[in-house]
Amino acid sequence: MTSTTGLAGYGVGLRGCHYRDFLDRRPAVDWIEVHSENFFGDGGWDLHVLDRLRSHYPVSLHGVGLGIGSATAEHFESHLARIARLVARFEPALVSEHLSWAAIPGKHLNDLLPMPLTTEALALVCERVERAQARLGRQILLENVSSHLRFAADRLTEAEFLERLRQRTGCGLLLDVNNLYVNQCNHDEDAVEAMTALLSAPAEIHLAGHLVTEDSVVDHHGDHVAEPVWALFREAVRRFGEVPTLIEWDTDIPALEVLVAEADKARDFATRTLSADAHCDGC
Amino acid sequence: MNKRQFLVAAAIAGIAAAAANPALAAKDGKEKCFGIAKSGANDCASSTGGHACAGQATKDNDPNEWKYVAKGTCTEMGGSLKAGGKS
Amino acid sequence: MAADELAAIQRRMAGGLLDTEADPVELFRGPPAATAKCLALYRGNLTANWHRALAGAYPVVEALVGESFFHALARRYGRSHDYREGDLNRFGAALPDFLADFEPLAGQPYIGDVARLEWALHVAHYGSDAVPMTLAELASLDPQSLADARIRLHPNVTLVASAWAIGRIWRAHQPAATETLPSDPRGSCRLIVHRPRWRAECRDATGGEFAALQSLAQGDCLGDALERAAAVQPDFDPGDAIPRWLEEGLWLAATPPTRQGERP
Repeated sequence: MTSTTGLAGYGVGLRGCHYRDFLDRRPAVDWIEVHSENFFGDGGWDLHVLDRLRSHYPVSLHGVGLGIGSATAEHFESHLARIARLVARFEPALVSEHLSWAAIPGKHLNDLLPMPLTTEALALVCERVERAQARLGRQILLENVSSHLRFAADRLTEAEFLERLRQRTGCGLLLDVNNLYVNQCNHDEDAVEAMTALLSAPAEIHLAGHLVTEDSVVDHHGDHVAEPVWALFREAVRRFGEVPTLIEWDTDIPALEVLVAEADKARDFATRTLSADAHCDGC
Repeated sequence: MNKRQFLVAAAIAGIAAAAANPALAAKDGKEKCFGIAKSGANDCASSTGGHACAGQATKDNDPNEWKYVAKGTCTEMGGSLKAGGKS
Repeated sequence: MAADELAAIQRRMAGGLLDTEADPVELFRGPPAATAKCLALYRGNLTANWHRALAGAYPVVEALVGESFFHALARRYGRSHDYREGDLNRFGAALPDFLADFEPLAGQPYIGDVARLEWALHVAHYGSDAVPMTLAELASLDPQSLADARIRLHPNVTLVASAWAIGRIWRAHQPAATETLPSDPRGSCRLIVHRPRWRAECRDATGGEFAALQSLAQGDCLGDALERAAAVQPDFDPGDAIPRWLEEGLWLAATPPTRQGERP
């Protein structure tokens, strides 16, 4: 299974409120990512816009509704078929899903619920990832999620879980650095240690804003990337080199320029981190 | 000419006349998209409304406990139409 | 932990998210009080997702009942309706039926019909890009066969009839609306929902138009459909109506009669 992506640099999530800006002004970002499920319709404006933009930007399809870790497989094949239809139409550079579950028999909860991190859950997710990759005929990436809770049954860290998943299935990793940070706050899990558990570079990185509340840190994608998350991003670049990196913004979405500036900031951080390291190597 | 024949004849005449009118016949899909503000409902952000919702969520299992009154623009149309309605 | 135990954990967590009386705190690490708060956060997140999905499809219903009522409605609907898809854009499909039996809105019976209209518009927004039949294509058909032709309406077309003034109510809520809300929601209407190119729209139909299009949608031939229209609206003029429908892209295709189906 190949993992060549044909995608590099710094992208932003394409959201409905920015379609017009993208069509008219073609902002200088290296690639775009969309939520796959928002393109599940038979036709319409969203698909039309993506059709037009794909000739100008590499596209990444990011799924939010498959619930790949749901014990029930009730919704799995039909959902996968919709993704397959999109993959065939748009030939995306990347296809990703979340390490999460969403459904029980008879009901879909439409959320990214955290997995019990056990070897048995790992076996189930491995089987699902293999089915997905076989159905789509390509590699998919799995993303670490933020969570408010950890299960008593957990036997692995999320990073260990994802690394084993990657080894067994040949899937790629989408490292959400903000989620690492949120989980560090919520569960006292060391984010740098989590990166240390990864044996090779992720295929994609996500950056987003979060909200600190009294009870928990919420991954709301509604703000600038926070300072400690930039610090972790620099750490990721130091370890893994330059990785295709995306700015996600889903709540109180600002003008497109703000997102583009955030993507440029990520590029600057990475460039400066790498050149500083190169300089040190020489001294 | 019966009613059906009359209607069909009128249809044929109307179609032929309109098709011969270049302004009408050539009129086809301009990109009619201004004002489309619809955004897809699927995303991967967590809600910040969690706190507010959590409190409201505690007593929501019994239909008798419904304590919300429709207080939007429907009030401009006289509120409840039901005799003895409670709005 | 066997695979059925994974299923059990997920079922119990889901149960806790759908029923506030059940807090399966023992499934999780950490002190029960903090866990309970976090379960409430997940619960709030579900409601927020449901609210956003419904608000996207039903902006007028939300305006009619107000945001806090709508939020509670979204929670009630989300908990009681067994939705089975991983795509929230389809989440609201059952709302019009749900509202028909929703006791708190028994005094606003027109809201269910507004919801039916909004859902038809929502479906049209994500509907097929199939190219509608053009006037030229229709004009090129053999006029002799027209009366017996079957017409397939474009899949984005929905015909909505109501005993309430839902067209006016809907239009009054649009940005830059020129109409105001009626002071009384009573008054029937017939609407055609369609999507010229990319934007879903609706317009009032005359009684004749509505009857004809409904008849065509049921599979009647054009001659029958026109007769139905004339029966409800004596001054119905197919020479005006048909070119307009074609211009609006309401027809997908016309199938000329087969030999067996030809009228003697």
